[in-house]
Amino acid sequence: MTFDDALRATELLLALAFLQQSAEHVFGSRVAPKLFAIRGALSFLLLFGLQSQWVLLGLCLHSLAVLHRFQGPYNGGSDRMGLLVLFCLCLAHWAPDGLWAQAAFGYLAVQVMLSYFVSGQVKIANPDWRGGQALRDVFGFSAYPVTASLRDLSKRPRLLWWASWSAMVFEVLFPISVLNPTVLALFLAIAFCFHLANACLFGLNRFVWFWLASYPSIFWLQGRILDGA
Amino acid sequence: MRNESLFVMSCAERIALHPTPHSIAQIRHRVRADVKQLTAPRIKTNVQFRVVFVQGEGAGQSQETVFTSDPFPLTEFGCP
Repeated sequence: MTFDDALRATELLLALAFLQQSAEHVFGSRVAPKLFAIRGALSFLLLFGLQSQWVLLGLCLHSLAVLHRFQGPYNGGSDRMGLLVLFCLCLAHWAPDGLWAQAAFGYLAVQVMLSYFVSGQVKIANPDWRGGQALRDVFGFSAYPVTASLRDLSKRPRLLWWASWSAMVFEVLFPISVLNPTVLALFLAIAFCFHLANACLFGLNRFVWFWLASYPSIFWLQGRILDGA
Repeated sequence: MRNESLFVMSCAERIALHPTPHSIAQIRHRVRADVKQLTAPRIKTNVQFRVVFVQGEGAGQSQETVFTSDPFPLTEFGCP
């Protein structure tokens, strides 16, 4: 994947993620609808590639207003990832061509890989995760909007033990996937399914779109590393 | 509405770490909206909310109340 193709793919996916988020605020929850209508309008421009450089700068400034409105990210980790993708993309557009622009975009890829690795490492160090108790607690009485029927999964410790270890092993192994294009495609497909499952089970729908928007940067970085090797 | 629930959870976590007028106001606003859906508002009705953390302990659970709000009127300015 060329640098320009990866930037454009990221723009498209980020625009779609912001449009989904804006639609939710404007038509669904009605929380700060005017603020998110502006984000939606800017995202449309980004989707069609109209003045992308200026639109990205506008979205960065607008995101400061959103942070001020909610005194921080509205939805924790998923919004932080959205901001990371946005700011890295904006820097890649505004930095001088060549190494600086690539460094900004490569930083995004490294952060995404670390997001999986660090998450797995933290879980493996926690005895509750190693024994499956953490996931039982999540299904049993977490504050996530888990539906009542899924709470019964907390009574299936063996299944949750396997699920815990599958997630932990996958996450800590994620960085080595960058060594082979087929393995990376496989890992990203699994990661996407993982986020999709979290959206269905826990309502963490924003993670799906923002993490997906970051995947072109990993594909590009892998090509850059393998070409240079 | 799931993301709205997650934001309320974020506010509760912020209150547990360091209560701020913003986080308290955000939860107040949603408590008012929820209670009004359940019952017809009356003048001088006050409500209160608590932030309770539930934790697994062996086979059972333990609960800890980390914050209790001051009573506040169900309607923004004391009238329906």
